[in-house]
Amino acid sequence: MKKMIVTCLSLILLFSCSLDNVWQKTGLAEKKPLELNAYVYEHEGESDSVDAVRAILGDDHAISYSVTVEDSFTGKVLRSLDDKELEALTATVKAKCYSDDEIRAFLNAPLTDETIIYAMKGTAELFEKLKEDITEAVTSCLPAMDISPDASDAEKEFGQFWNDLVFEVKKYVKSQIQDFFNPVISFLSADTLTNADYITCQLTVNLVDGLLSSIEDVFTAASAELSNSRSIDLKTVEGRTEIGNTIQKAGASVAMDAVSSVCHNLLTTVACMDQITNIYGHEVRLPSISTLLEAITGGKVK
Amino acid sequence: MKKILLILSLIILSSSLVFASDFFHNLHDASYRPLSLRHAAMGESGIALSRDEDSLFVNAGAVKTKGFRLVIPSISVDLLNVAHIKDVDYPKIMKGNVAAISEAVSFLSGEAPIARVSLGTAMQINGFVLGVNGTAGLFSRGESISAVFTGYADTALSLGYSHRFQLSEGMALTLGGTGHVNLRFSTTAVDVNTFVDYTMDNSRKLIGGIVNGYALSLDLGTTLELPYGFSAAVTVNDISSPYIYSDGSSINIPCNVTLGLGWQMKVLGFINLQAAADITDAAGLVRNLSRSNLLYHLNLGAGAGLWNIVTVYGGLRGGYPSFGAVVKLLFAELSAAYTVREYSQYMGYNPKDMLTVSLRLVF
Repeated sequence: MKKMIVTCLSLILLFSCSLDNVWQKTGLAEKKPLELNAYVYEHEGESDSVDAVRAILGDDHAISYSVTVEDSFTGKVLRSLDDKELEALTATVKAKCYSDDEIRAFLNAPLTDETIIYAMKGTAELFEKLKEDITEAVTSCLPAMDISPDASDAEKEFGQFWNDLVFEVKKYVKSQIQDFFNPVISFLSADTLTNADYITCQLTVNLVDGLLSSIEDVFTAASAELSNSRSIDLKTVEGRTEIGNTIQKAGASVAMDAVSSVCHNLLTTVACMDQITNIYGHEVRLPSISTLLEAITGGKVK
Repeated sequence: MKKILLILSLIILSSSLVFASDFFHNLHDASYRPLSLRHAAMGESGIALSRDEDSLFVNAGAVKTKGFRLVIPSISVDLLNVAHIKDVDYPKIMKGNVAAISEAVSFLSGEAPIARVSLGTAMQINGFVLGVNGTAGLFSRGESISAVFTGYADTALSLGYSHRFQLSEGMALTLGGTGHVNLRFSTTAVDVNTFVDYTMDNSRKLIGGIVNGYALSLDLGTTLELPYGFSAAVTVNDISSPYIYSDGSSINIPCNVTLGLGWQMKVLGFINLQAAADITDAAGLVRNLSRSNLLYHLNLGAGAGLWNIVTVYGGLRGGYPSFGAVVKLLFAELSAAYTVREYSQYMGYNPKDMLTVSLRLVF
């Protein structure tokens, strides 16, 4: 009896230190298997033109981005995940009841779901077409602010802060955005795709969503400020130029909202990437937030 | 100024506080239900062993003491993630290291109260029990990346009655019911978006407002005392109206049926032993019956006390361990419990631990 009590207490103490579930640890209860769900946009109709904004973000947006696709286009594209879906993805990859080795094995396991594979190939083709334009579109909608000599000290300070930030972000986007797109584009010619590849693709889709949503939010705010609402196709140079001009004309308040908007739209994805890449960076081939920060700030923020 | 803004923005960029939401309507998916330390430390098992103190929230059919009893006041403090506190790299955080901040925020987040203080008082007269309980704290919702934080307060005014029927020598049946008026207050959620806006524009408020909600609920319970210290109990808790909030929204509270078996015995005249096994959410288990699910719905607990002065408890709540101790000195009861529970949709994915310390005066 005494021995049994001591053994029970020791077991309780032991398990409570590691926060493990006793039934799972002893094999009496099954863990929920690691699974990744696919969220896929299916292109309908015969048209060889796909609206990337609609495919990634869904319907009803003030901006569009028409991409001409080849005959080989699979017709499927991974859509952007909402916050809850991203959270579920992170929770799966960080499930505490699985060891790092078990999760790594899961990440390296080949994908068998054909819908996901087709959607990844479709996404890769879309990204190959838009990677140059999207870099330009992002930089177009981050115009430098004109700092008026009559502005208050606070406005001047903010204007300078904004211009510095815009300069660094543009520099970073121009130099590094290839690193985000290239792994996904390489899926076009890959024979085998893994679960890690799917996560890479999905996070990149969400990152592009963040960039497109930022452009849309800032443009919409600027248009409202100027009472000049219209839809813009980012594919065209005129469209991109108009976005930049509209934002610049709208002034400091819109610029202030733009900073907030960029943060709002990118943070979820960036945080998700950080959660995953901090542990499984090698598998998912995406830079962690520390790497990004170091690149943007030149190592000033550690 | 601009450097501070830049650094702040970047620090925020790296944090894990992301979610755009207004109020914390799903602060809990159940009504406010403060548990006794004994119940928590026994893996939330022991409805069949419930005594007076548990009649308000654990088993409405549990009042056994005849006459008058007063608990005034009861105060407890809960801290989440005790196991991870030692992992937080405070020096790096103080130096603004973004990775350390991000990691610390990740530890804190979850569908859980990060820290809370609870107060309660109860009065009991001949089977009637009247209680007022309240708690206030900081709550986080969302796992890691979607975490948002809010301040909240929960109160409950409860009135119950239990009647005990002596069936025969060594057998008794107690039936009871307890009604609750629940009030809940919560601040608007603070997430990274709010924080970014606040940083960029100081005229904006970090906390945008307070929402309040109320619900009426009823608990029913019955306990059958059997010979040789055995007992069995059934409770039906949260027969409840939805929580109605001041912004017009509402949340339904699911009803919970629990079945329990208990045993207690005094040996050698001064050692009180007890053991319990409960099945929680019995209806949910029946809908999805499997061995794993049965174990996840099974709460087990045991306790051993010496002269009613020191009692130690241990248990498993759905497979997660818990333990605690209660020390009684005259009218004072000092208790501590360490519990672990799941804070994600799936067992094993995101367990967190909690330390609770409580002090009560019982007359």
